[in-house]
Amino acid sequence: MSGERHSLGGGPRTSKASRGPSAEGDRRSLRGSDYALALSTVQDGDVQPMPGFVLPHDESRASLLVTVRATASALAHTEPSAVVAQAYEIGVRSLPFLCLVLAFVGGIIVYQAGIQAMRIVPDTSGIGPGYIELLVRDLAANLTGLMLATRVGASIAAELGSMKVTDQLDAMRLCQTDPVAHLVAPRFLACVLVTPILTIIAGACALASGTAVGAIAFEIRPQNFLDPRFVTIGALVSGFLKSVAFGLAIPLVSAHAGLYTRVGSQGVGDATTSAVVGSSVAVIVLGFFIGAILHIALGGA
Amino acid sequence: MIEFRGVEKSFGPKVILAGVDLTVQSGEILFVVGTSGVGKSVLIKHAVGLLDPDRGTVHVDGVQVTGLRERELSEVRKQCAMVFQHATLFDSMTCAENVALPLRKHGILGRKAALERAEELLGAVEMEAFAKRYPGPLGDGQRKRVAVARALALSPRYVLFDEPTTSLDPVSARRVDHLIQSLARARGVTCMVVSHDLKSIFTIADRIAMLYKGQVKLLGTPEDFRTSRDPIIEQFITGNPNGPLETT
Repeated sequence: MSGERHSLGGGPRTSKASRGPSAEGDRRSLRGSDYALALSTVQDGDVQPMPGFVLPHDESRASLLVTVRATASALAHTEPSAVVAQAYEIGVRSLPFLCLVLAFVGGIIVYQAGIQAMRIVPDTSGIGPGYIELLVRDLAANLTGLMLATRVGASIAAELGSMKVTDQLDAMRLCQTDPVAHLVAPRFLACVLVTPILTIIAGACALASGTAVGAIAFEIRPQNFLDPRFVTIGALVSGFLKSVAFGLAIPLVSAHAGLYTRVGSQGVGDATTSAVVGSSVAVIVLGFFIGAILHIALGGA
Repeated sequence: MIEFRGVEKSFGPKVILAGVDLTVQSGEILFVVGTSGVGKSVLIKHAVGLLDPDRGTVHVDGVQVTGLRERELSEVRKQCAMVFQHATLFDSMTCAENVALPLRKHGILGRKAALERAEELLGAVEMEAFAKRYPGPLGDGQRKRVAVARALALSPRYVLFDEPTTSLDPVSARRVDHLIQSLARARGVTCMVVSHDLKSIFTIADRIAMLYKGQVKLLGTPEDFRTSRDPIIEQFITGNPNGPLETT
């Protein structure tokens, strides 16, 4: 590197005396031409204030509630374009996997239900309405939640964990960029938004496969199978609330695991495992309690 | 001047720093050396508020960094930049966008002006040809130079380097040494460098601080280190696997 290549002094240098708290003070400390240029080009949207609450670096002070609080605090600083990008990543790119899994699980359930019905009461007329109620109330939301816990949970934890162990999260903080606002909040918002939509689409796939299996294996006519007479408002509310709750829980649990990854590739592996296990448990437990509470509140409707 | 006063830091039951007293003088190149896991990186992270000590304080130009909130640390971080062991470039941004990021986020320049300034800074580290390229496919040495350009974006008075030559080939390593030296000599930037690279240490260091068992074992010039008769210092310099030096 030649000597003149190292003439690094031509930048917007801030003087010691100018280190006041305001951005205006910093701009005044720029050299003449830089100052004029800066004033003419600074855009308010470029300045991203750090949120009031920042995650503690020390693992011993970290808890899931702390991550929840930091994420809530960072929501106002989230860029909409980042949410859209994550909605594509979490939503669109998960669709083939979710549709495939739910279609096959739906087919298996209808087939098994048909065999049992034929064995006990040789009547398959209740299979369709019962299956649709199960799908709306529990199955679509729970299975979608579990599949997202594996695909999205692992992805969030591994990405954040890798960034943590390679100091990228610290580098972001030094660039006045809050890692939670930049990385966690967009994933959180995207997951909350797309999980109910994914649940509906994946549920439709399970319904289609169940209808097909019913028709092929048990000669149930589709118009008889697709009978929603058991679907109540309570079932619809239950399914929707579960999908929203899973959309809230999966990114938070996974991001927490990633943000507090221990050093090394083993740490990233542990964080990913922890995210998948934690998210899956959250889906099952939340699903149970939401169902139970609604059952009690709506008197079994 | 960066002052570490009685800095203690533990992670769980493991004591990393056990009362570090160290002053980095303005304009000097101070190397912090020691065996792996001794707490060198942990020490320098305290200077920019990435870690808070359990006890003790850190001052940068007389301003106490310890205990400042993230928002308040912004002013310190404008003056005190850090180049991490991994280049820590954001792969979703071009090299120029990476370098422009602190200028934009600290509210110094708008996007267009920040990108123009970033290209100048990349030129200063001979990386202007890569301004519009993404950092993913670049070599370690190139990534490191882009990271140095980003650290210089805010024209800091202090630059902290965490193992800047680790994983670099000898030529790239010497380029980074040259860059650190020119920062200190031509611009008066104070450089605090964590390194194991003895060639760098004995070529460009003004002073060396050796950390051992959580404290500063020896603080002196490269000559003081070379002539030290302390068996631990001697073993560290010679790399002899047998001796009193305890490693983690």
